[in-house]
Amino acid sequence: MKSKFWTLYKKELVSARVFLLIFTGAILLWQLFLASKRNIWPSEALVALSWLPLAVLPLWVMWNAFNSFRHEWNGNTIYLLLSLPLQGWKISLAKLLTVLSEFTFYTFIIICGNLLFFKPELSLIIKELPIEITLSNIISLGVKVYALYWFPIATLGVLIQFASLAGRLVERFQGLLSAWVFFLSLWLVSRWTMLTSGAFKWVPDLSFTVLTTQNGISAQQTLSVDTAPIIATLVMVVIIFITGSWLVEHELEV
Amino acid sequence: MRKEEERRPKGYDGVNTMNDSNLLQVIDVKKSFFRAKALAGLSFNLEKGVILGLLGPNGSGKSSLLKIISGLYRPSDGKVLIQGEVPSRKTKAKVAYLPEIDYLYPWMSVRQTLDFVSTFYDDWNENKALELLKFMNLDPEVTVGKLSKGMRARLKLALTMGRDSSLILLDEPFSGIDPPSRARIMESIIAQYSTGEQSIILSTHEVGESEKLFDRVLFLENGRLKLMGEAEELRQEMGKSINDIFKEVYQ
Repeated sequence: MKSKFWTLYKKELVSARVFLLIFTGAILLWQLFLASKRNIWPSEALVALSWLPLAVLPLWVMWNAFNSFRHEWNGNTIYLLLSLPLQGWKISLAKLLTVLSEFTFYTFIIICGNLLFFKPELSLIIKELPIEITLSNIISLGVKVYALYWFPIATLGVLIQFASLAGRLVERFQGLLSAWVFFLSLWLVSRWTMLTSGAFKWVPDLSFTVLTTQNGISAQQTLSVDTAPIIATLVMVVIIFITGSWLVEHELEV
Repeated sequence: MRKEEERRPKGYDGVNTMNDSNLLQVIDVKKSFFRAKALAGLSFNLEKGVILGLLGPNGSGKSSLLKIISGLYRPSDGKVLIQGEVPSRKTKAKVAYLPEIDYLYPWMSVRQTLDFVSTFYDDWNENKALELLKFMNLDPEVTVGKLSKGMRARLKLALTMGRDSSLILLDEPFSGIDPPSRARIMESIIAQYSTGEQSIILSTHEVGESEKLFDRVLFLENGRLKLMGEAEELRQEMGKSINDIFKEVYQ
């Protein structure tokens, strides 16, 4: 028995394959272009610029989250999707997960491109680091920072998806309503976080151990990230996601 | 048409009392879009084992009614009950709906489309669906986007009739379709229809060829019931074919 959710998720991934190829190609071409500037541009600048697509990705996530349902309406496939006997959250989550999976995939491509095209520069940077900073330190820190970067991206995805769905509730001025709902939900999330994060103070903070060097002396430093506002935000994001899914199942019309 | 409007045919009792054989109850259903009224208070019942011809010109409310029954629209007022339940996820599992427009993913192959749709329905009948594909001369490996309009219509019908649903909604299945495809579609509706087990509501504004399918007909005009009755009784009483009655009603 095939899982209904997996079938939906697979459908979303397969339908995104063309864009996936185009975007992957664009990232690799950009990095190849930068690699061609080796010995012309400073190596630090080349490595830094090779990560530039990561800064563009949030915009892409916003665009894709907004369009994930819009495409179904434009292609009339919404008739098929909404006539399926499915819970709304399965449809919304399959679309959201696809956007986030693509985001994660592009990050992977950026890392691979870096290792492929800028290995000498990266080796040089690593060699220049204090001996106490090992590769595993860098990877561990990178993973934690990426997880923290992923969370606001996912939040953004949920809010945009909700705004696009809310826009579908009216026959006219859909874009205007979507924009209004997006800014309203952003405000709601921030207000909610401000008001309720105190209730999550009991959750342990996230701590990062980083090695710093000052005047040639290396020292370990522990940075901590307050998890209370993250949990509070997460609660509201889940509420917004559930509301959006409810709209899909109970309110939206083709 | 005054006399015809006053007719109280089978399936329309005015008060919509529920009885055991009622598969579908449409109770004073209204649907408005902005200022336009698609349905203006429509009521009728449908029992199991009936093929109902939903007839009317473009804009008479046929598609809106089918969308409400399939759960794709919500009525502005009144209610629809399918085996006693309002349209929901639960009723979507029992109702097979064929919309007039192309609603399939063009990048999927015929086989992928069948696989995709089959996952979601417990009443999917794989053998019946494959038999229909064969009968419709559909190559499972062809991409939906590469199929002609007629072939896409055949695929849509295979997807709908491939289920053992108690209620089948066919919205203009012959619209803009070439004669060979029409004939195939008609034949497969007749062949796959389980007499007594299923009910079909078939909407069309081209009555001619399809009138032989109908047990009962419902004429809609501006979202209102214009005339409803048993097809055979109407033919005998009015001494005309349903197609001729259709022309007379909407002239």
